[in-house]
Amino acid sequence: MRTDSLRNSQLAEQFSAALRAVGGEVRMARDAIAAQEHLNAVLAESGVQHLVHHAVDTLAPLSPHELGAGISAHGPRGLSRIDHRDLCASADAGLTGALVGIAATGTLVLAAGRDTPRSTSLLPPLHIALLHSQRIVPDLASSLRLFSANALPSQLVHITGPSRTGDIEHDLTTGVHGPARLLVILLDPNSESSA
Amino acid sequence: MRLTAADHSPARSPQLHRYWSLRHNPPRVHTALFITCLADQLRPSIGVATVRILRRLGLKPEFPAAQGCCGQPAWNLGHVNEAKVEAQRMLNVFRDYDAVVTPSGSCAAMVQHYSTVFGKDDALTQEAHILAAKTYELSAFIVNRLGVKNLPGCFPHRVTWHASCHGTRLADVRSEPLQLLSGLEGLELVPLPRAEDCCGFGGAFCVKFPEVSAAMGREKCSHVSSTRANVLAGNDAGCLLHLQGLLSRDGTPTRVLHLAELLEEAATGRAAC
Amino acid sequence: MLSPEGNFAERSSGAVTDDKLRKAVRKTVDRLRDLRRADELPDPKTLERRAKAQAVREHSVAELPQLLAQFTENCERRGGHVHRATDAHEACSIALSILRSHGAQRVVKSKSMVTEEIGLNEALEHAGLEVTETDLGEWIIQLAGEKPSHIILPAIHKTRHDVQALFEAESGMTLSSDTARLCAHARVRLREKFLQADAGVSGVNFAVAATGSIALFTNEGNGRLVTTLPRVHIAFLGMERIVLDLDSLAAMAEVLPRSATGQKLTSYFSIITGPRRADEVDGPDHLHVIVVDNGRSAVWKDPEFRDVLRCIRCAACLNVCPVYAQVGGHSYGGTYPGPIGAVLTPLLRPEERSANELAEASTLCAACTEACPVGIPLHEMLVRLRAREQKEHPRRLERLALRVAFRLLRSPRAAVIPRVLRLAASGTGTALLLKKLVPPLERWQRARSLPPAPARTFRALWQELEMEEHHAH
Repeated sequence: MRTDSLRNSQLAEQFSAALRAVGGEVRMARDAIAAQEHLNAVLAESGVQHLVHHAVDTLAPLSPHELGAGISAHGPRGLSRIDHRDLCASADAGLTGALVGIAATGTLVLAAGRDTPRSTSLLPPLHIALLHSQRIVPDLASSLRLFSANALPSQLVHITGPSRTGDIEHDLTTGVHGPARLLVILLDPNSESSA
Repeated sequence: MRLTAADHSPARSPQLHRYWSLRHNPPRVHTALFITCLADQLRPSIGVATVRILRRLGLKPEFPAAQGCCGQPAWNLGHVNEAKVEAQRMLNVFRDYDAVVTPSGSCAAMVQHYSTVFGKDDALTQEAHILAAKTYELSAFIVNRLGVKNLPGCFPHRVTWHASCHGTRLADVRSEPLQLLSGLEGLELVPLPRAEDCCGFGGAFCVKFPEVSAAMGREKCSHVSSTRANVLAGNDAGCLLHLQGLLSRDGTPTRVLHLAELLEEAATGRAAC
Repeated sequence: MLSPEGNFAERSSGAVTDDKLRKAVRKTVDRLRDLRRADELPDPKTLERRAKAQAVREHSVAELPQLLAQFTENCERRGGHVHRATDAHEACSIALSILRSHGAQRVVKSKSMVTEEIGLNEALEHAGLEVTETDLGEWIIQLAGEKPSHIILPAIHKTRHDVQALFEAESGMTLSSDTARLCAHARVRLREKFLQADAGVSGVNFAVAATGSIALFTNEGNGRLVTTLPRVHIAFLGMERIVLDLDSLAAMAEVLPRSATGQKLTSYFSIITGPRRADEVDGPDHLHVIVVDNGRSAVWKDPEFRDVLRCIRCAACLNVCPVYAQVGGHSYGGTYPGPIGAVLTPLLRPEERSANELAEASTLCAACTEACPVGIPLHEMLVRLRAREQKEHPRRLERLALRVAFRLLRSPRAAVIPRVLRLAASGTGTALLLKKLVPPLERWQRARSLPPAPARTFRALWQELEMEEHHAH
């Protein structure tokens, strides 16, 4: 058990380094309270007013109901396709969990589903994702082995850093279509919480 | 055996031990020189230098006069039958030798790939493999077959090396010429930027697409100039003639030397180190 | 499709004098090559990764018919529709009839080489549909009315000022030439297109036979938008771009981004399996996969060239090709430029004679073969293509010249090249005549001095060399 959690922390470190290398941001949280504080701080710093998020139970222990004052938050339930799309398109940030993290590349794996629609992590300019350190695996092959060939979601997306392009004179620019910022709150019980 | 200035050198460094031991106990390798068309017709000094270098290593290279072109121009232009005829001639010419040495990475690569030329023609393919195994580019022969990593000589110049594509990628001759060059006294070897880029010679390519070929060559020449080397050396006469033609058209004074010419000049020249 | 104007020789000799183009191309290929090397060279796993990827692709090509059947079955089981198109025309017609059946008018596209190959945009626009390329580089090219000049970075020949002018013309707004602002502008303009689109069209990097999935690698995120917002998703799959299972896909994901841009993984890598499920609020209602043959079956049946179907379109061969670096993508006249284009174009379009000339556009330096992550012997295939061309359309004069030359070159007295050189250097009327009679001589001299003619050939010197040996003893 103890070795498992140490191994998780090593993978968490590798994950963070790889993600930061491609322009993603990582904030370490030791516990639920620290994670929620990070979330609220990020939203406040970034001036987020409208947040869209995946279904609440996929985000535990974060709670979209305990955000700072004046922030509207919407999950996917009970929304029509068009309403959901328009909310995502006008949101300042999208909050999701991550099913798996891949240490070698700093990749988040998200599966599309009823509670976890695709647009939340795609349309807003800021994507915030919660990742539990025990969900980090070493590489892509080990991540894909977690999925059964007969039970793949309609879309499995692997996100490695913010949206980027070098199409104009190789000038690396973020956020051309997807989020310009990707921020991961990494929940690791062994970590020193960091800002 | 002819003696050279280097023989009287007072400083017989331990690196030259293998060289001297070969001179005293000549290797019994029945060696043929494969001169290549370009060296024969355009730069015979390459061939002369090759013969003298091999003799100094205790060998008695022969020059079977029936040899011709290795067939590469025909093969690369798609004339398979013409290439086969030339390849077959080469099999016959070199059948009885232990080793075939050529001062060209590209021609060595062609001979080493004869089995592809013959395809499924089994009898000849077998022979092609035998010839391939005993065919060497000059520096690869000296370093790998004879085990001589250093040759005596003095060449007090700044030299950069053109690693020709066929020599490196197809004949896998990469470190050998650099090994021999860096062992010479006084020689300063400067790396050529983007050394792995083709110079644009490409056989028939250089006259089929002269503008593109020249543009590639000029880029290579600008890299050569950037090294401030006064000698550009290589082991493929085609590349060297192309680059020399470009450099001399532009009035650039860089000397262009074949590896054999350079080694020969280093061994016998008057330059003092 | 080959561009109708001129041939490679003409297009390329124009391109080498276009300094702006050459600089841009050189900058791009050097950058991509250096990024790839910075990732691959220090990594001890590089060879292992490549060997795995090659094994996966060898299997894919060997078992192609079975894998396609398996993919079709699994994709349809998950609610997708799979169509087979024999040629470009059929592929476009299938897409058009799908779009019409859904009443689709506005189409957004993410980058796909196979749709370039079949001329999809032209076909849809001809039918009155609005097609918008959403990959930034592709959109720039579309606005300019041009073709991509690089597989990965299609607009490398455009400067930021070119882009500013194109965007201003499209939007009627005044813009700055700052890259970040131009990208922000594109985000807003194209976001509107995404939100209004009736259908999304994408390519497929790999289809997965065992799961019926399609995989897409993108950096901008437009690939995700195309497959998330519109009600209909049409994916074009080059027939050979299939792998066995998720393990094989993982092996490919390890080499494709690395070989293309030196990234360990692209920003986004999506595995799509069927349309959205009933309870999902986004994703397409309908997923159609159009499998494009367009000459590939014939290549598959040809043992000399079958291995070219391993290609994963990473463009690593372009980035190391010294010819491509000088002439850029448009000189190749087809959809696929560089070494892979020089091999693939004549194979996919055997009826177009001018495509065969592309195989000549190489010095056979083999840098392409060395760079290929799936082990395609590209330079050898170029030679095989040349041999095929000789067999089908022999150049008899060239052949005769070779035969004569081979004979003269081994004659002890002929010294043919030195004689020609001395004549050519003589400056007499004969020299001029000689230049006319021997075009290679004139072509050599356009940019290069002739080498000095040696007094005697090596053959003539050999006797003296032998004497020298005797005297020494």
